[in-house]
Amino acid sequence: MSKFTLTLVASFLWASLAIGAGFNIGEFGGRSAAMGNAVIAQAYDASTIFYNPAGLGFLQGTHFYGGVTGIYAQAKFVGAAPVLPNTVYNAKKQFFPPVGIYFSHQFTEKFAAGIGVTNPFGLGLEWGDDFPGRAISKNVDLKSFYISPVIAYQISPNFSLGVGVDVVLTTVTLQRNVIVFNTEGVPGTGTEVGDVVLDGNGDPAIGFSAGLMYHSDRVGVGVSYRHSVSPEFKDADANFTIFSNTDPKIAAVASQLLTDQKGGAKMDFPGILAAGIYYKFTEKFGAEVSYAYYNWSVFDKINLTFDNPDLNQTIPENYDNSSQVRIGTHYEVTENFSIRAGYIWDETPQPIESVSPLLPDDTRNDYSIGFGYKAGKITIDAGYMFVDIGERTTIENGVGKNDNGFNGTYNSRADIFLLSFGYAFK
Amino acid sequence: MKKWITLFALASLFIILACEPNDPTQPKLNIQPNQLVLNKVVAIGASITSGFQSGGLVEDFQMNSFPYIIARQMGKAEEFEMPLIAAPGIGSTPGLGPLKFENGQILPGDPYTDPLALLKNLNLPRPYDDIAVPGADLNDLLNTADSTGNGNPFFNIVLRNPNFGNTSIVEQAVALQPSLVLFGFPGGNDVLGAALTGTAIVGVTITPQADFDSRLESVLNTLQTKTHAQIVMSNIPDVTTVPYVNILDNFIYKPFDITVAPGVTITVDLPVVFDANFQPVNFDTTGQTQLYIPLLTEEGLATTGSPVKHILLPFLSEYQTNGLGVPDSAALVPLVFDYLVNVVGLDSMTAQLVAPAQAHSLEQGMIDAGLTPSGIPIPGSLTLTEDETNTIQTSLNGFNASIANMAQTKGVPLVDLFSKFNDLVAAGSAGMDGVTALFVFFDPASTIFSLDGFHPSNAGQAFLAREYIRVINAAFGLSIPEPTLTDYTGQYLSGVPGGKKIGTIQPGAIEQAIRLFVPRQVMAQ
Repeated sequence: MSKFTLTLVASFLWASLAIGAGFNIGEFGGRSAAMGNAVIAQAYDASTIFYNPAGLGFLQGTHFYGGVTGIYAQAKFVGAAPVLPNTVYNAKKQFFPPVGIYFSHQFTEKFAAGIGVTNPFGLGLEWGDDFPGRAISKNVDLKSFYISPVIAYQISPNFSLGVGVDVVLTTVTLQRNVIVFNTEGVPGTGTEVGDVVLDGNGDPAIGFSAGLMYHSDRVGVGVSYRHSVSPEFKDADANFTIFSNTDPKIAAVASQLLTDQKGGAKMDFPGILAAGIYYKFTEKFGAEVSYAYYNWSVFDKINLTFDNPDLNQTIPENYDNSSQVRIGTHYEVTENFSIRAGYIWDETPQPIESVSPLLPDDTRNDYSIGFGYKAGKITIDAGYMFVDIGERTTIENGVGKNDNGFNGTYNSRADIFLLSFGYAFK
Repeated sequence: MKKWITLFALASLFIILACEPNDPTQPKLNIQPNQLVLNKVVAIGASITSGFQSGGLVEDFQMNSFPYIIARQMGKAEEFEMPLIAAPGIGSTPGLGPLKFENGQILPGDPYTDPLALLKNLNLPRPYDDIAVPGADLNDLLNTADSTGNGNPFFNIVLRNPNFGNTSIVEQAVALQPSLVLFGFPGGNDVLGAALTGTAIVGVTITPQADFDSRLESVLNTLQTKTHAQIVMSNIPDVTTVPYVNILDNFIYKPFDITVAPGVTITVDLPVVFDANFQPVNFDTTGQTQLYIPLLTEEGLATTGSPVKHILLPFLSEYQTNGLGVPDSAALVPLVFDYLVNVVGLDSMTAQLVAPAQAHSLEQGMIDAGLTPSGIPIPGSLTLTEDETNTIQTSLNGFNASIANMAQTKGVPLVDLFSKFNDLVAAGSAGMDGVTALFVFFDPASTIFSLDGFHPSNAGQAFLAREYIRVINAAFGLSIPEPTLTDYTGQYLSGVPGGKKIGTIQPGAIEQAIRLFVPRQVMAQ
């Protein structure tokens, strides 16, 4: 069976809810996603650029891989009694259609290179105007683009090494209502006067990745590492709107304080260390188990700064390092047609104090299935993943833990659909 | 292949249309619903609510204000922000702090140069939780934003406009969106000024009832429509039973028979010359009867048609130092004449001849007793006649009736300080629960009054806090622990070395302390 039969959809998934715990997005290919992203130890198509750059060392010829993904994200919230009423609030159902592409080319017998554009970290969550947490977050839209040129070298026929550089571009939009004269730590106090939208493009951040891959007829072993980056937004636009129904005297004070100005933000994306073992049980059936470790503890806070330093805000996040276990299987029904299934146990890095309307995360169980078709140089893959985030509450033993004092329970899920196309030039 | 893709597309569509996360189950916090009223406590009102005592405001007093005591009993002292003022504090009169009590004497406050330098907590980025302004009346609560035109620096100190949009006390309370508003003595300053200035004129020193009603209603309506707060308010104690007014009431009044018309005689109590122990002096030398000398007053039965009922506290230092109200020999002649005719039994002509000399020797007797016969009558601003007292009490009762009525119709729990205070006054030196309503000269250990004779002392504030807490607990089913009153007593013991004794007041000290509370119309005159 050809190593490069199946191609993956490189999906740029913008929505964190579905994608990986925290705001990691791990689904970059129809095949990979269908196999629960357990592809560290296998190199089937150019999307290996993302999963394990060493895989390029085993990819012969020139490849293109790209596709469309649809992430359908839904979230609900109910506030804690007796402070908030027993009303369920729905986040706006959002559909994120990211795209992703890879090119790879084998220059010599042992040497290959490629480039991929992926979006491994992203986030999008918008609530309605009546959502009680609207002064914490009303809308957030974070997109990160990793442009990753990679080179790989085949040390021996079974063993390959790859390294790459990540150029990371990020855009962020944060919107929340603004309350003045509130009493710190006591939700529901103060006067709501308007809202603020912070829009920015991050300065390019540079990271790197590296990987090793070993394969024999039946066994594959892979290790890959992607380093953390810290995108910084220096020239973001902060635009304030004062609501027309605000008391005029308070509006006058607010207008003086809340003038359109420049702002900035800084956040830290974690590094990922992953290792996997693949075993080809029969000619038709193979499976991989892989483990990934995310050093999310770098994401301890989001720093927001403004021209007027009185508006500066530090949002504590204090994420914990986390793990992911992935199992992926495939079955070659015929030479041209295969089916796949996978499962991911994805531990949340988010501590209970940070569970908020910005991103309510939980340890997820992701279930995926898919199929693929190959005819000559063309491959088509389709996959579906159900991301079961489930209920996450900010209450522990009757005590509210959220940093802002905004307590309740969230329930979220995402459904991811992937369709991708690959072409092998040689 | 096509059919697989079609199947995939249809399945995707189905999932999108049909699959939704379940509604999450509402979690419960370990908070009883009735405790939510304590989330955010704000106090509005005037001097007593701010912690003002002894004619001034300073951090020590503010930390003993009833709102702060209540917050502490609720376990919320740390979040309860006040416009703290460092020592020596800011008094009624610019440049001086609150009154002091040393060696049995009430003294003016210590001086300060820059009031701004005394203000701690100036940069709190929101209104204070204790938004009470000393000297504010109901109109001020609604409309006054700063100290322009009213000579009262506390509006600037507490409200800090224009930084807060030129908002009034009530508007700042609304901006905070409290869950509980402690409303202290609504309308107190709408009637207190009359008692302090000895001038009871509705429309000048007393707010007319109709204005009081509409303004009180406006305060309550604003809070109830623009916030979700519960309000707890008190009524107004009888301002004529505070030491500033009644300090001499129980000591120096003696009955006199006055002929008001031919053949018509009535018996009236009049204030008489007294000694250092507040005891009336008997000038009778025969040993068989009593001769008390009434003090000279501008107001009175003969002049304004109503007898003097109270002499106000600032009189004391003027009496002790300058003999204010003590008749000289000329003023004594009519009294001596009556005495010679009615008691000694002389005939009118003889009495008329003898009276001046007798009056002169009586005057000498007063000088020998250490008094100063100035011959100057006590001005009307230092006395309250029976009519004036009635005017004050009528207005006060009208205000309290409106407060009771609005408390009822608007569902506002009421702290009946009027009754509680009357009980405490009636209990005299025995007091209640370890405190009394006596002035510091008579009870430095456990008086509820401070040195200015009408603002509460620390023990007085604790008394108020306890009464408010009792009402809050009953109204909302809570169990906030009450403060122990005796934890707050003993404030003035250091001022009376060697035990209790009746003290003295430095001239001008009390006048300095009440300046802020003199109604603006009276100040303008």
